[in-house]
Amino acid sequence: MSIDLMTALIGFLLTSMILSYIIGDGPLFRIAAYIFIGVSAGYLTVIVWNQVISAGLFAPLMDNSASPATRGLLFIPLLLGMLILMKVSPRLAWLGAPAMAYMVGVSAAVLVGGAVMGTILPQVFAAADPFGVDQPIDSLVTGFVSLIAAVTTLVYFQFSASRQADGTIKRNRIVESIAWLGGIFMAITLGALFAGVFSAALTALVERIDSILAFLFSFMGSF
Amino acid sequence: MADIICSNCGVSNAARHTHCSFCGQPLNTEPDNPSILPGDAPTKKTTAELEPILPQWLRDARQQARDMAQKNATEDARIAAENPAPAQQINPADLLAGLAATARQDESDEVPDWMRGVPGTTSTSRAEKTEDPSFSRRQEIRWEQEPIEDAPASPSAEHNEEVPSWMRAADPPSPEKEEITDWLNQKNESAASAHFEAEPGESSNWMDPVESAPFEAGPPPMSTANESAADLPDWMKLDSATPTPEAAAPGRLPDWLAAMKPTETSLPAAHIEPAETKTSPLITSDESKGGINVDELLSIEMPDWLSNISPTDRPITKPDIESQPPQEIAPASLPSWVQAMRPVENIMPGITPSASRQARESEGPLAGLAGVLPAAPGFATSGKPKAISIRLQASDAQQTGATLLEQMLAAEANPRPMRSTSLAASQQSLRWGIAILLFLLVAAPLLLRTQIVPFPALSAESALSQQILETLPQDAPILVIFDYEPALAGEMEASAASFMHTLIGSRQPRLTLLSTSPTGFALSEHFFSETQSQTLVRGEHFTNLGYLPGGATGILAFAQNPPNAMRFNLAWHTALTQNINALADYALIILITDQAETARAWVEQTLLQRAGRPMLIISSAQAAPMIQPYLLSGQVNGLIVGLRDGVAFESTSPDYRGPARAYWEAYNLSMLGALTIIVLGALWNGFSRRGNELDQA
Repeated sequence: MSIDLMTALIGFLLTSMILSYIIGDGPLFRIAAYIFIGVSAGYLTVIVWNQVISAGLFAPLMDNSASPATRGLLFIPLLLGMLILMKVSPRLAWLGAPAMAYMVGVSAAVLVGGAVMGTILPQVFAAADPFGVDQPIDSLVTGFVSLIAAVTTLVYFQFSASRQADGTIKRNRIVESIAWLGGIFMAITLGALFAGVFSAALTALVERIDSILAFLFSFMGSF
Repeated sequence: MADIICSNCGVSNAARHTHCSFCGQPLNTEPDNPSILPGDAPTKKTTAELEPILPQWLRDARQQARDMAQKNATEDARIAAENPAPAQQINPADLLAGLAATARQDESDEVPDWMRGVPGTTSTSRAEKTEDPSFSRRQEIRWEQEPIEDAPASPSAEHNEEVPSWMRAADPPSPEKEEITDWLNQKNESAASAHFEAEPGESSNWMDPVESAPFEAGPPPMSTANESAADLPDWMKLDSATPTPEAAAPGRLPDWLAAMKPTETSLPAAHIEPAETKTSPLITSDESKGGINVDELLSIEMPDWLSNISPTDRPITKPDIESQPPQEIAPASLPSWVQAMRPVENIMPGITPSASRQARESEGPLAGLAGVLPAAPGFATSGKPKAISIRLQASDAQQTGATLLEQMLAAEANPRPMRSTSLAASQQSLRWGIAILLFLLVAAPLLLRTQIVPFPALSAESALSQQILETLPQDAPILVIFDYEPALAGEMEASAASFMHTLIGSRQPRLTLLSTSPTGFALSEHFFSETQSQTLVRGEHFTNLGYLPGGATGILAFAQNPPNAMRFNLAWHTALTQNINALADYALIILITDQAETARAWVEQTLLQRAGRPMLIISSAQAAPMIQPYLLSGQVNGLIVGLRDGVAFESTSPDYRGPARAYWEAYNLSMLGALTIIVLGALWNGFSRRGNELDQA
């Protein structure tokens, strides 16, 4: 049995076990899910150790040809990594606080800077671009629709209300109308997202069924 | 009897009532009682006036005391009649003769042995004595009203003018005096059980042996005088030669008194007999007959009042208690603090509003009192409080809610028929039906290899990618990022296979593969092995850098300095990347991802470092709506979305048959079937809900 046939057989079995969820949450589905989790964890560990820790930390430290400065700087990530490992012990967890704080601080700075420079500002300028004087009418209409959708969606999440004479708590009629329109845009957006997810899942199903049929044909063809 | 109308509230009360049963005011009191003002001197009151307002328990105690006193007086009279007292000798300086007269009628106290036989003590033993829990001690002090019958004048009455009556010792002894001296000469140690009872009506003057009530002249009640002689001190012990008090020689002074030298001061009324060897603590009347000077006996300077003590000859007569009417308790004057507690009608000095001008309370606990409440019209009207209805004031909405709640509670008691079995069976059947339909719709086109559905044309977004592809130079370094999950590998491979095939086939680029996911290395290898027909050699056609750790931080580090970020990566040190020193050195950056977050991170972190280099995103259909704004804003130069654009690209390459074209037929049919099921289900749900609403209505 060639390796390809073996891998195909394993794929067929695991796919069938996952599709057994149609019958119910049975043992076959759970076994397949546990295998997936375990294999993923193991594979991830190997990749991280092989391509990050070993290749990026220990190997350079033990490389005599590397410059002392390079090797000296490697002690910093080594020390910070050891401190983070102290999080395992409740008594020594406080030792990992500085390293964790450094990681969180750097990540927050990178994300905030990227969000501001890479998303907020460009998107704001892009949202105002359809209202330019040299833009065509359809672009202007598109801009207005986008603007109305954004504003009404924001108003939808405005929950300030007052008590009426009959004791009920209601929002202002104007606010209620605008929020109703924002709800429509939100529904359209959620519908589009659902369609994309369904499309992706359907494509994955088609691919899996195609692989099953191919295996079956190849398996039967081998006989 | 006719009822008594209360003058305060006007309520009719029974004749036996002394106070109004409604307002509590005295029925016979005058309405115009003068009120007490601050600063007024206490007025003399009699206790009899306050008798009606005393508490019941106090009145009962007082009545019991009166009854007991009357009873004791009767008893004393009976005893005195049975045991006539001997002739009383005149004994000067009968110092303790009045002790018996001043003794209180105390039933609980025991008369000591040395006082037994004293005239005035009752002959009743302890056993005979009945306990009276009443306030027998309480005896009205009759300083003024209790007339004391003086004894008849004695022969030495001329001395009485100078000496107080109770101190007269010069009077000839009277039979009552003999009684007094008798107890001095008697052995009283045996009278342990005799109670020393004071006669009713006796004064508190213990020094007056004459004016006091007659004592019990009887002999010591107990005959154990000889037996208890040893218990007495020596100076109280009597000689055994005098077994009985009656046989004792009258007028014999006690030894301690006889040993005393009489003083020069003569006592006009002191007839004290010479002291004898017999010890007697007190001077008897007989001893006073001897004219012994007390001062001389005591050899000390006696005060005048003590020196002039002498029994008088006045006969001590017992008041006829039986003939006397029962005396009522004389009203005593109230102390000032009691008077101050009386209700004050007006506290303002100088203003004495009369009770008739002030408003009186006619009802309530303060009925009959004047000036208690401000006489302001309409102010806190007294009387029965206004009846408040306990019925809840609920609005219509609240009542409706309460009715609904009651219905709900009532419905809780009624079991609802369960339809779980049929419902679960219908859902299971529906699930099986949908699954079978989808399998058929997918498998049939794949098995039959039909091409009913036409291939789509390139979209506007994918057309931009086509333009970018056409502008790329030959052997250009291209960075391809594989950041998608293995679960959607089928869709991503189908979407990217045709474009990559076209790119590699037309431009022979130098590919650098990278991934921020640990599974990216394996996915990239699988992609090239499964979708590309060309034989690509690692290190010659492409280099796989593998996993880039750190997420957005790693992307930024790689974007800022790719060689430094990959200095420890052996795959970087190849000919394919020898000219790459910055991210801008790549001619094209292709991002294959199924997550909008990954696309956003790459777009944000590489925007400045790309320096205008084009970036192409091959995205899954689920992430395309979130990535499209980046395309519209110009941050991304091209976008290939899902299987549709993959088929569109594949249709432009007639010599290439990728997986997208095979999937397209099944994809469309299954999508159509799914849409039909969704629409039918929505209609069914809408109609069923409408029917339920109509049924409930």
